[in-house]
Amino acid sequence: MPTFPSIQLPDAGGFKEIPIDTTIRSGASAGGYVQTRAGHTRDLFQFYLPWEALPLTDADYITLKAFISTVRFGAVEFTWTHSFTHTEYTVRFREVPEFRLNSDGGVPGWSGHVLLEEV
Amino acid sequence: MSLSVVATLEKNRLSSPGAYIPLVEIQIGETVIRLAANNEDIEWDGHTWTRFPLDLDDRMEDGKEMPSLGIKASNALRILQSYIEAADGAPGAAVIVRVVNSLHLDLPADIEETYANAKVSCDDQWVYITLGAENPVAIRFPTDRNLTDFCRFLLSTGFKGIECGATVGDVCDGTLEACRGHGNSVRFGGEAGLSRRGYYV
Repeated sequence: MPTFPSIQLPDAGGFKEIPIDTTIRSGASAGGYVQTRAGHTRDLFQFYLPWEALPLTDADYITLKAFISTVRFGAVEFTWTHSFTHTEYTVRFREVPEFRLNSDGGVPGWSGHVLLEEV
Repeated sequence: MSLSVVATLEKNRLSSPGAYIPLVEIQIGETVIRLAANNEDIEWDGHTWTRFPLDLDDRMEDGKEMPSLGIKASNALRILQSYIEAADGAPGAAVIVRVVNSLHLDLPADIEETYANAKVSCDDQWVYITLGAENPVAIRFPTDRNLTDFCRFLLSTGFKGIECGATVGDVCDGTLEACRGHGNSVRFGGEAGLSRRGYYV
């Protein structure tokens, strides 16, 4: 299985873990009760990795772009080590990333984000 | 339809960490495909039920037409399509839909219904299966047949299955003696007290 390349860490400020809540809820009723139940047996997360405050260098961007091509955008799952907790996950690209060449904040480079989802 | 005591307690709870998981067993000739509409594999009844993108429609039953059930299964990897095409559309293939609770995977399914494949179509994303009522000639009636010295569980959920529950031994010939040998005669699926002559309903 491919492994996410070792490139610059995403912005700590914008990094997000997005839980996929599949809880089944009955909704409000005249009876005043709401019933809830787990929808599935496993809790999955999405991971938002931004490089906005500190854009990727040319070298890192080329590495990331080559990796995106290797996994054919969102087609192939791969191993990703959490940037901050260092836990290993099997994920795939949820959103095809879009990067811009700019110099926001005075730092030239490639800014953008990727969204990963647990498989 | 009657629910077990455990299922009744579960459905009456205001909240539960247990998920009701639909399990779909598709029998195409000698091939048995076991799928779970869940985001991880499920171990139930001695088999691994593979996680698979599945959508089950509401069962259509209007009192005028035969009841039917639609299933939509992922075709992104063309897995099911290959089985179906190899069997020329698998007309009449038996499809058993079960619902189990993730907290009680050691118990029989809360719901179990058998259908026959009535229509299949495929596109790039999904396999659409329309299930109809199974052939009434193929339905066992009465559901259970009790024999004097043969365990009916051997033919249903099998040796060491959910109904048998034996924990020792490698093989079983279904007799009471074999069951005693496994120390499991309390759960023997035969009826030793029945007369060996004639049939009783």
